[in-house]
Amino acid sequence: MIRSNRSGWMPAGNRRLRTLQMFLFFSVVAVSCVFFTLSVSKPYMGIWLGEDDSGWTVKFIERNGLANQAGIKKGEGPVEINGQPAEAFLEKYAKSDLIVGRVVRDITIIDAQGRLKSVNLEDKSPTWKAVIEVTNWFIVCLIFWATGLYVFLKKPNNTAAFLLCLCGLSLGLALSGNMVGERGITIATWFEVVGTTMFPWLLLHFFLVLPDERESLRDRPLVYLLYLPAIVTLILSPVIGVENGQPVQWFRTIRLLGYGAGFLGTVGVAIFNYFRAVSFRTRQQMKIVLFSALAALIPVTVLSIVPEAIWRQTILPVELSLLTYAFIPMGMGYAVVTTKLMDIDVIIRRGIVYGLITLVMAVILATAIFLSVQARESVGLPEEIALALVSGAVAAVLFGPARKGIETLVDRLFYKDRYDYRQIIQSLSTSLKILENLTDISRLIVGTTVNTLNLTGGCLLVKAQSGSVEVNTNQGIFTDSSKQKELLNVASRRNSLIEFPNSASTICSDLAFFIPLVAGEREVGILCLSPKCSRQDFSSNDIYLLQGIASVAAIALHNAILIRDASIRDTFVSVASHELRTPLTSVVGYTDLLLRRDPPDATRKLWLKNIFNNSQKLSAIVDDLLNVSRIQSGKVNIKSEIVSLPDVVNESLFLARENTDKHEFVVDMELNLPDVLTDRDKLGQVLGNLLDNAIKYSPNGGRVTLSAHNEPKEHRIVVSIADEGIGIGEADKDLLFTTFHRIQRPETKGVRGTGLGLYVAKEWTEAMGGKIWLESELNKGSTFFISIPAYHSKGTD
Amino acid sequence: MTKKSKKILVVEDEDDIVELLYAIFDDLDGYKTLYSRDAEKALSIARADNPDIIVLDIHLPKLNGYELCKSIKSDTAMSHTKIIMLSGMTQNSDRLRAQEAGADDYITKPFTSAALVEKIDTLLKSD
Repeated sequence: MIRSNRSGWMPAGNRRLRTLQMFLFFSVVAVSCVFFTLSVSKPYMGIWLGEDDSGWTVKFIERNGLANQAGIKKGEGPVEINGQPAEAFLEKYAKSDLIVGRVVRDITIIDAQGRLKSVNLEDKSPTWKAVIEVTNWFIVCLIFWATGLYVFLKKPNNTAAFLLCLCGLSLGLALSGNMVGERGITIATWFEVVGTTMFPWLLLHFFLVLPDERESLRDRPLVYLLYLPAIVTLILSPVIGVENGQPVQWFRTIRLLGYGAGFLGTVGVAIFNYFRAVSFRTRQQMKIVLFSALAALIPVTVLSIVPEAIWRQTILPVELSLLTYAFIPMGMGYAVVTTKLMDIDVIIRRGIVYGLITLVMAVILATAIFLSVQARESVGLPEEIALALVSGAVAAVLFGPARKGIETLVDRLFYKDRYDYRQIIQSLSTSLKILENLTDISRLIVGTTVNTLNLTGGCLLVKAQSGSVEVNTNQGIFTDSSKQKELLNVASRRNSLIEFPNSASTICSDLAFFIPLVAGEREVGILCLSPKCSRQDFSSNDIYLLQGIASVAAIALHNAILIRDASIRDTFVSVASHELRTPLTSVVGYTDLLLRRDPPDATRKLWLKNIFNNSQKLSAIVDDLLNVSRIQSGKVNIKSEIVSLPDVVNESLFLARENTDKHEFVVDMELNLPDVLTDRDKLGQVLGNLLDNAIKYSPNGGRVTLSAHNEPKEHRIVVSIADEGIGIGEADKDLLFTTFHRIQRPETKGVRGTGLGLYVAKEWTEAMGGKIWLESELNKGSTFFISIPAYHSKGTD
Repeated sequence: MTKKSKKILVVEDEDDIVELLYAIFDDLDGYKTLYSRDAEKALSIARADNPDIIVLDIHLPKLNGYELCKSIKSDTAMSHTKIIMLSGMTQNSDRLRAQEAGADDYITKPFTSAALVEKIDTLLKSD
């Protein structure tokens, strides 16, 4: 299997698009930042006036406006506005039911007792609560932007990541535009309208495309129809939505209904995602968003909104508690980027554990400090330093054992299975640390998982050096080679929907979980697990165990792969060095002799021929080494050409005949074979390597038969090369197509080679969409087969 | 002792290298050269012909060059025989291993005829 090159290279078109996206992102952020800065430096009136049967009165007072600070109350009537009598000023708003305070710069109000109250924005500073409110909204937006940008850069091709970014931008515009608009900069209200109108629909779109299981929806143009109400509202807004700089009430109501519909749709989609999700991951994503929304809303509700509604006093001012809204974008961002979603009850458990530890430590330290201070009347600087050091030491000593102790206690009391499973993970981790051999490590991983969960089978696919995956260890039902092939097939056409923690049973009934083992950024293997013997479902504790096993297994496997790769590299260097030096010695030796001596013509010719032959050997070895290097770095370029098989066969046979005079070559090819669709040069190399092998491993000569026949149903042509040589034993068959493997038998003494020919043949054949296999019996010869795709022109079958 | 009486045993399994060594030694006066392609046969030739010097390749089938070197050096009848190890490996650890096996000198592939002959001459003169 040839792996495509997955470097961070990006086409120039994409780079330009990314630059443009970044430019637009930072432009919108800059506009919002300017609005926030203006908002924090300007005061605002915060008063809404409305007209009813009793004339114009104050309808609404904003908490942090100057009007509220001046003691103006709802229901009081205006006397003078902006230096004009109120009636004269309000005359032009006769058609409006409600006017917002942004047009009011100076107002005098008369209250029920006939007292006058005046507020003038000139030379006034904003209230400190208004400053805190703006600052905290800015912080929330900043976190939203940062989260959006991080998620977008991490997953640039994920639509949900892009939408999260847009949500942050539109929220920033909505909030900053609203605040700066209230402070008299009317142009900003258009930005507010864009932000507020788009935000709920962007949010709805985000939840629609967030689950991987809706991947198909991401590119469907119809989905963009959901923005239709928002776009219509935006177009109509400047035309019929505003009069005299004041929002037209009926249009404002429609706009509000639009927001409501967007938000309701968002909640509906989130609920639908949770309850109708096919994939476990989708449910986890929704849980994360739900918990982040609760973390955002509960503090505001409990500490600010409810106390104010009941007692007219907040426990924590809403200007401060609104900071917790930042949990929402963080939760959304986490749901997009994470591949391993944390079990939420584990998070809560950890929260309890660490909360308890902090509490215990705080009590102990406070007691220690209190007692120390009480012990003496006055504490000097040296004593304070000593006290701080002792307290720090006590904290450090307490933290380790206390954390472990309390965690174990919570596990034992509330999570019995978790407790047992954690012991298993710990003991697995300890055992894995003392192993170095890849197969031993794989066996331990598969054995522990299968036995603990009582599964019908398990199989570990490990990344080979070439990047393809290979079966390393199997147990139970996966000892069957046809099932292993099925697993390899699943691995080759995998998608995130079947990856753990999702179930993989939808794609293969024998497969419960398909768990990629990832160490750092590198996937090192795949743990494939079958269902339980009892056919019971996997519990959340089982999932927890599998997550733990996957983490420790990935690290152990990664280390073992590094050791394996280093050993392969050493072998490569050692074999390459030895194999290159042998022909090089002949080239250097004979050249040296020719320079020093003056041999007769016949000897001179013989030496020159030796130099020539050994130079060709050198060239062939270098080719092999380069091919291996290309394969292992994934830089294989396979052409797709229509090739006449007899032509390639004849060329390969011509070259093979030049290397031997002991062998008889027989060609047995079906007549009228169709052409093949393949890479001509590489097919020639594969046949050349197989013929070379047939010659080398039949040292006593004999017949080498090259056959080819068509398999029309499979649309393939099968070519075989049979020899009458020494044959291949069972032990060698499995390793024959790996790098540097050479058959070590008395009969192979003196047979030269790098042990790379069959490896290259296998990799080339598979890269061309073919297969390679062999049949052999010891001392009775071997037959190598390759099957390659036949070319069917239009009109033929 | 005259030069003519010096016997060299070449132990090498690569046909091409054997052929090259043959070309190098064939034209030189004062040497008689014996050849063996495997270590076991080389040991019996060494016992029978008592060569003055052995040019010994490390990579040999069955018994490798180090083992053969140790066997010869541990045999009192042959321990005086000089041994030059011939190797495609250039690391110091390989050189050290050859030294530990009892080799008197070490030459890496590729080599020139002059370098090999000089090493042989030097070892035989030190006798």
